[in-house]
Amino acid sequence: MIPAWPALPRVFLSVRDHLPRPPGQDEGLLFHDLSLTELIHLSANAERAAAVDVDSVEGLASDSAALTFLAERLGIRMVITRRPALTLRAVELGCQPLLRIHCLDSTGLERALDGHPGTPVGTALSPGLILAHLAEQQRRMLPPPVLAYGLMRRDEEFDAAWTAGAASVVTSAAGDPAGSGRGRRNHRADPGRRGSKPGHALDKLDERLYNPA
Amino acid sequence: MRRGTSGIKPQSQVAGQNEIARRLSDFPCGAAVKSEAQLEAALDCPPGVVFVLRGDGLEIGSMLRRIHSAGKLAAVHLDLVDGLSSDISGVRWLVRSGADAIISSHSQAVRAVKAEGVTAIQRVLCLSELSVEHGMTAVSRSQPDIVELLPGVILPQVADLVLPRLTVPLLAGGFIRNVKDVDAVLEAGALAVTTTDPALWNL
Repeated sequence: MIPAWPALPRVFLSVRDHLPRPPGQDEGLLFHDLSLTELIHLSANAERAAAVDVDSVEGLASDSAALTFLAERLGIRMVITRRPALTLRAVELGCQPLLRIHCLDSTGLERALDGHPGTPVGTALSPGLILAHLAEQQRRMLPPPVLAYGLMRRDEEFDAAWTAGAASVVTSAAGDPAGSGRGRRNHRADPGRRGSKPGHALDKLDERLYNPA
Repeated sequence: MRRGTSGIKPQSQVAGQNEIARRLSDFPCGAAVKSEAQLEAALDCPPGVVFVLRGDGLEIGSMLRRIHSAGKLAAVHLDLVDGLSSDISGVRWLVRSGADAIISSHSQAVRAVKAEGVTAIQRVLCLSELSVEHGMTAVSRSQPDIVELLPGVILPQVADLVLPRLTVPLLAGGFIRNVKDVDAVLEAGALAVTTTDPALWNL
């Protein structure tokens, strides 16, 4: 039986060692390229949809124990990894996995898709910019949901990715691509939200985490 | 698509960076080959540089001789050919096999290529802002003769992150599927594109 997970938020705010800005109301948080300690601090009061790029967390192994820790201790059940076997383990643990694919040329894409477990494992395509450049046939081969992950900075790039079939985009841009309302079309609420009141998600976060010295 | 007037001349010796760049400037769609069939087609096409992305690195000498006999230069991807590791010994093997240029993502290999006196092409993989930053830092340290950006089709969108930090010619490869893509990438600042699509080799 294929598990039914909530839809991804239309936008994930990229979070490394600090929050680049307060996230928009409907934005999720994607934690990546940070340390385990930073992940614990930053995710503690996120109170919204959160995902982790497991392979990029310093101090965290890309293994089953790490997934269990993320799910049971941090409450994070959306995970991204380049390891197909780990995505299947994530399914067993009740997590929503996305297989990260480095999409650098056509041959590399085909090879990566050969190792993709397919549904219910989704796809995190890097760089996210490439999605809009793929041929329709190539896009159809990507197991959904598709996350456009990497180098997404401009409004037109978000629009292009959504038009090309992305369920979600990752942004590190200063602006909130969903803020104008464009990004909320087809948005389904509460994708893995862990908190209470929308819009109050990060009130409890230490100010130092927004603007580290 | 030919931009220059100097034409292609047979080259029997290892070519310098200037010769590679000149040929790519003349015919800015470099032929990237991954199979024997593609190689046959590339040898009959205008581009003056053939990019070898697959094959047995330990038996690559005969292929490189065929490329040279067709009047072209050969750039071999150290990280992608079989049988060789991306280190100094792998570099030396390719140089002795006749490679005119060697491509790698690894700074150590790029420095070894330069030390061997052949053209060093360093790949920068554009997956995220962080990977671009790491790639450009690696380039500044290893000082390749040419940089190749992947996936090349996104160059117009990331040129602001890459070009201000480059002092050497830039190639762009990956998902360049038509003339419009080629034009956009060249307009964005690339010296040339590399592509496996034979239809683009004749531009």
